[in-house]
Amino acid sequence: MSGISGNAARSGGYVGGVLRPHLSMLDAAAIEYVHEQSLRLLAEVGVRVPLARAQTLLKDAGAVVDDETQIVRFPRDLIESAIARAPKTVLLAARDPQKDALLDHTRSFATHDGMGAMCLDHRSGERRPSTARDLLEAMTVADALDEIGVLWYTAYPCDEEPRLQSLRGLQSMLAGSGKHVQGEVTDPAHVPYVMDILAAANPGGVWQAERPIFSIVYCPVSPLQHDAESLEAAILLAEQGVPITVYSLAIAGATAPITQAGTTVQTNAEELAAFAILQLAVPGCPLVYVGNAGIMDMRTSTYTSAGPEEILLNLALTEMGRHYGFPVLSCGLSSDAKELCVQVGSDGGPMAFCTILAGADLLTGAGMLDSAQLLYLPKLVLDAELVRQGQRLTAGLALDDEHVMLDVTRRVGPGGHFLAARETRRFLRNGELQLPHVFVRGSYDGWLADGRSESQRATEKVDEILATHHPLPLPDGAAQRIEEIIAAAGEEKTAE
Amino acid sequence: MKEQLTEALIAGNTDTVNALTQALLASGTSAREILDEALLPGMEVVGARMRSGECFIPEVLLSARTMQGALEILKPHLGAGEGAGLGTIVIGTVEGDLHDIGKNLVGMLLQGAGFAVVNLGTGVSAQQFVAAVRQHSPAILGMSALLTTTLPHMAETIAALQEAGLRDQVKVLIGGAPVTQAFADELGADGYGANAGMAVDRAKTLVAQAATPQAI
Repeated sequence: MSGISGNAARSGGYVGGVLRPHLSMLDAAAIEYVHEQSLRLLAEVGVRVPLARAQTLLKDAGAVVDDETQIVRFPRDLIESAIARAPKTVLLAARDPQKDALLDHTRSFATHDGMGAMCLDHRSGERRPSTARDLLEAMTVADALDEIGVLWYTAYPCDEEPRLQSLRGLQSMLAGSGKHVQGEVTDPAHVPYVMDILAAANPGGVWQAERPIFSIVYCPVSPLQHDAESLEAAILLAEQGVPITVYSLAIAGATAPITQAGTTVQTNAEELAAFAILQLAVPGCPLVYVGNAGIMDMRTSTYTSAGPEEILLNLALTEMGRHYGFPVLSCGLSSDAKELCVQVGSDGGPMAFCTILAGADLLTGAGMLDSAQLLYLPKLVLDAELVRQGQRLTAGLALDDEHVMLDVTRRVGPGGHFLAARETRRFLRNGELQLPHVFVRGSYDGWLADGRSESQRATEKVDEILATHHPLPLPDGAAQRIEEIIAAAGEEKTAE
Repeated sequence: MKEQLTEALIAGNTDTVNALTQALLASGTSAREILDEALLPGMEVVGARMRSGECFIPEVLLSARTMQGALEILKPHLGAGEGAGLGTIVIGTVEGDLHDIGKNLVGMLLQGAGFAVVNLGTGVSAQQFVAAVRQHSPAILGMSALLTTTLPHMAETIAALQEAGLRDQVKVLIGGAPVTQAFADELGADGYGANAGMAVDRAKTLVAQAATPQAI
């Protein structure tokens, strides 16, 4: 086909439009194979569910529960009805409605990486345990960056009373941003306090289940088991309409088979089992499937969050989640590097682009070094640049007569130039070429005259945001109300 | 034959190690000599190769398991109190934490290095740690945690050891993703391992220090 004719018939039927790249690895037969192997695993090996309430529901639904080992074997129809029942689009609402993240498979929203307990202080350069202030600042910086759509409980406030950390974390997250926040609640006793805090932070002072401004990451414990308390907390929150991201995070070679195939099947099975339990407990509850798993570094026994095998795991699992129709969270941007260096970009960039091109609704991984353990705010700014590049990739290639610009080329003719054409100015202003915010293009002399390194530019951007950006304030009186709720939770804990 | 035994242990060849251990005993070599001159040097090599990145964790575990088999054979021939060599270590994951892959890995590597390991499992309370220290009189108590919210249980355990009058009798080694040297110092722990291999090294240093007479 010539591709330059305005006549559809003469150009082989091409009618023009935007062509968007998409990355796919599994064909229909491979998807079916992974699904069948996952069902076999759930029926033959099963999952340990040490929560009586869940066991009863599962028994009633036809699962085989071993009362001694607490291992549940799932029949096919139980899993497949959960797949059918789980919502296919999920709203992660924001306090600022303009920042809502509707997970409907049309775009990817980036989130922080997490959850770590260390911070590389961008002011002092010191690596130290993360604090409530670090968490608040991570929220504020992400609130200001359009490329970050949903905020994660990225680093624990280690300076807070440990038993109140998740409530203090929620407080920092809500105060630091008007965007949707996704946290962690592992103690069922905290649920009433969490709901009170969320009500206080909502406009109007009441929790709105149809506009959930908060969701949790719930982690089954690989291989193939659940923690009773965390599961109880997740069910209690699901009853209130809090969406749940189910993150099994098996570690290939240690808590899952070393092969990408084995880890894909086990992770898929763990996700489906959790979906089945939660859909039985709260039919129709909003859930997010996680298409990601870790790998053990076999030389040091530590967790690995990036590399080509990670990309393969992400692609396979994201495709499984998409096949079921679920909203999917996967990983990109994350790096095992300990400092800003080439590895950071090569770990995080290709993985982020693949995840975005595979169609994940959520892309976790922004703002951390050292395999999601070390918060470093300048990296958040640099990751936003990578997300913007990913967004440009998915914006695609507009291919039609107008964009081919044959008429302009005819006008310019051999030996002429396009700089004076009004079409050049128009497409430039319409975003045909994306301009980096922090990355460098242009002349060497210009770069030299600027005098700042990449990390200096990113650090300055962080400082500028922290000095000038004001997130949407909490409703009047909410900050004090939240403080009172946490104080009450503290007293109850002390009384225990 | 001792060199062959060392090589077989490094290679993780269980059958050969068992056969050579039995053959050495039969030929009159003492259990102590087999341990000190063949098995422990073999595990030293494995440990060194792990540190230098030449040897992978699953291979180290194979050698460690093989070492355990040989120790079972030697046990009846070792004098009372001689134990497995480096002494006993009690390990567990603190209360509220179900994550135990890291702790189990450390346990297996410690066994391989020559410690007798008592693994208390997950969700271990301060009082359970104290009871285990009382029962097993270990040289070292090892605690692990993955969740930051469960870290305070490490401090509670150290306080409980003090209350029970046992703190001076046992070294405390801690680890887990959120644990740092600074946290270990703050807690008054005797050691910290950033990963499984470092935990084993630290444990060996602690028992070596304990064995050295203190200057008066």
